[in-house]
Amino acid sequence: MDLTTYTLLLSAIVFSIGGIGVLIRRNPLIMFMSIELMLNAVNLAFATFAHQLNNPEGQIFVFLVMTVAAAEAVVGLAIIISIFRSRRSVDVDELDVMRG
Amino acid sequence: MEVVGLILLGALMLASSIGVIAMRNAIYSALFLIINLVSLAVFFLVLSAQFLFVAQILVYAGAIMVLFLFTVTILNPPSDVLFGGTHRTQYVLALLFGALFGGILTYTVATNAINGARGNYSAQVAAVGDIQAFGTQLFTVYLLPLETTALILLVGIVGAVVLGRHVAEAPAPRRTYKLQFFTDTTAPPGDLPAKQEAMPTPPPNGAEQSESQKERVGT
Repeated sequence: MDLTTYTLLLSAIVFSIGGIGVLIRRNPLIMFMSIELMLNAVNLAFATFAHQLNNPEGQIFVFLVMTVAAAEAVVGLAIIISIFRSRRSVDVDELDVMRG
Repeated sequence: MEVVGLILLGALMLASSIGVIAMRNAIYSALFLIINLVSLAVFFLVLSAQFLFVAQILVYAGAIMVLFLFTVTILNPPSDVLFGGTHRTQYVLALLFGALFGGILTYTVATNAINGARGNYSAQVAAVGDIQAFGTQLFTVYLLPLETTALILLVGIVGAVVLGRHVAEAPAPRRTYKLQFFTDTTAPPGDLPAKQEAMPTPPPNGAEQSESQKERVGT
């Protein structure tokens, strides 16, 4: 098993662990962390292919994904704070009306 | 020796990612995610992506996770109840589909050898180094996505500022100031009143609203 297959396997497993985390957790912060896990797994896959194909474009995609993930984390956490600041519990199952 | 190190690094990454989704306390999940991000950065270093190694630690583990920890501390969520009773079907189905998806991905990766034609960057990378090749590519071919990410970050900043404003729950009642003259009946009319006090009228609801007003003003 060479390095490429090993890191791709790791990327696949971490991605599915992140997907399970989004599905089974009800705390929105931990759901966000699971989404970050998935993004990082994809970053690992991009970097693996950049190393395999000896092409820096994979690393460029990692850079762009990192930037978009940062912006998404900022806005998402701001939304979470503004929703859950006045409530007692942080539970996404209680968000069932659009009026907030 | 390198194989042992790589296996340990992969085990660390797997264990920390399981720790992210399986912890009751949200801060523990954030700390496990930091371990995951740093181990991923070491993987970037192994894969000859030196710029990504530094950028991952600076941006992800250094900025995004600090933001997460701030948010977790502000919200202070109560400890989650894992595998609660009302959602048992959902948990079972989620684990099932997650295992199925992970199994399909792992099987596909393990059985297909990744044979790619090596690109024409070998000579360039050998001549100038990895980071310069990355930077040349980023600023010539991928200039438009780079500037677009700058725009995305700007939108994120504006969105965070807009979402973080304090919005009053109810319109603040107008405070009317009435001069209350302390009229002494024994004093002759026309003289200056003995005591003159100007104070805001107390709100009709009593002490509760004034406390909330004080809280809003911040005194």
